[in-house]
Amino acid sequence: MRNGSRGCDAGRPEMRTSTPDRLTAATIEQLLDGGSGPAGLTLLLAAAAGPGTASELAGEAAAVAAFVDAPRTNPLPSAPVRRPSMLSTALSKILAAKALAAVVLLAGAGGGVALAANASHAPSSPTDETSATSGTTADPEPAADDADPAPGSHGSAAGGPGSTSGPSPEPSIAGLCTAWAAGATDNPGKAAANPAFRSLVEAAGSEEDVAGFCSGQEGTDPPGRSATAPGHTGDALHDADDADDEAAGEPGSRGTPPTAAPGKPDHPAGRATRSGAVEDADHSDDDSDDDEGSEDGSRGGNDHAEEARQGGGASGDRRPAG
Amino acid sequence: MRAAAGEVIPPRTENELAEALRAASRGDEEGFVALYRDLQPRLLRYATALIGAEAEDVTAETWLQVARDLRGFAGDLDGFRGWVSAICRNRAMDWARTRTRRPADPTEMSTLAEHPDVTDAHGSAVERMSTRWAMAHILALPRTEAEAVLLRAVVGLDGPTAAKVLGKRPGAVRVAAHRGLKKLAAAISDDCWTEGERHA
Repeated sequence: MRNGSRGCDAGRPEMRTSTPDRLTAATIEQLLDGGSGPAGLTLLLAAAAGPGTASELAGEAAAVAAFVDAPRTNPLPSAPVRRPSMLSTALSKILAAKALAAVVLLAGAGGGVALAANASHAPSSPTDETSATSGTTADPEPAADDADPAPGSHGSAAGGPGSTSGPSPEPSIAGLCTAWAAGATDNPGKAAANPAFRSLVEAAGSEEDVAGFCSGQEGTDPPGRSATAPGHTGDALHDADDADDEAAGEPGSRGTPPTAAPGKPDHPAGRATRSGAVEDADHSDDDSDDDEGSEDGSRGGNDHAEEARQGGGASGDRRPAG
Repeated sequence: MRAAAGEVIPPRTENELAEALRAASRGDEEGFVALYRDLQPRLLRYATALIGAEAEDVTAETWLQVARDLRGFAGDLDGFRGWVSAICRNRAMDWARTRTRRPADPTEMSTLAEHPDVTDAHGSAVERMSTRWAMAHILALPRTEAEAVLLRAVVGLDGPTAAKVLGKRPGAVRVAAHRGLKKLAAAISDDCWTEGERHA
């Protein structure tokens, strides 16, 4: 019987030929690295790492289907081709995102409002503009806290930066310029590939013109810029979003024709948040253990978006009274 | 090295797999398939040490996440294996928590070990049996030692990567792996392989 060569169940203490004492640390390390050592251990480890059987690969079809269906979360398909080091690409992506977040955080009171207004005032290709601008503000929005210091001032918050300086995109452009400069210093060409800069590039005319365009913008810092308190986060998120929603949701009060349907900017914003979160999860996965936290974070972000949407509707209702 | 029905996937070289990883991170399906076939069997064995019979579900979940996030993956092959192992471990911990089941329940280990296809006298059965035999020994180790041995010698991670997956210091993982191998050496000295080796 084939079992003759492997009577594995027969314990034979008297046949001990190898003892743990013969195992040196170096030999063990060698074994752990896939090298050879005492025959018995070598065989055992090789068998444990042996080739897979069909039953072990039963999930292949499902996994491959998931891979094929997976959204292309990486918005820079050409980046790996252009850049020799994918690691540096990932790092610069993080750095650029951080620089962008920091800059928009500084971009002044009503940043979210102004950007939303910017989106609805964009004369050309409203869809692109909206998604690009929303992508830019998706993360840093919590920083736009001072936009709405008191619940009763919803109207003024929305009406101030939103309608009086509505047509002027300076706040976002200035912020984008700084971010562009940071990104360009960091990794020339990196910023150009970032869709968040699309509106900047379009405003400047082309990638090459951005630097000149931005230097022209430097003198026109928006007055709200110095009014920011970068330390504030979180609590005012909903208020800021309320104002955001109102700015986008009630264009009629400004007498300007809606170039984007009310509420529409929310949806691209939601998507941008989600894909951003996925990317974050990506990176923290690289750091191995953090994937749970990031996933939760992305879910939380979506929840916030939902709440904000609802909150926006509610405040829209009570605004005529105030 | 293959089943009678040609079911066993022939192993690929590390270079082929590194190329497959680059292709898969660009969205190439064949690259992904190659990575899956290379890693999944060993990942499943590792997961068995963590969660027992539910390892298959855990690895399935793991690959869904890998499939979702692989595009744009920026690491090398070792990094990829470490990344997947870490996801797998997290998933297994989730399962263990939600099922309030002790990971690596001994009865489940024995289920795995006693499941050889004894009706099949072909070489493939021997192959499968030898894998089960080896896994039975490894799964009999204390959990930390089994994990260290599996990540290092079966999944194929280097010391630092394995430590990262386990969330421990490399020194602690090294100690656990060394203890595990010494126990394995003692265990199999009673076992048929030693006997076969002597007769060979």
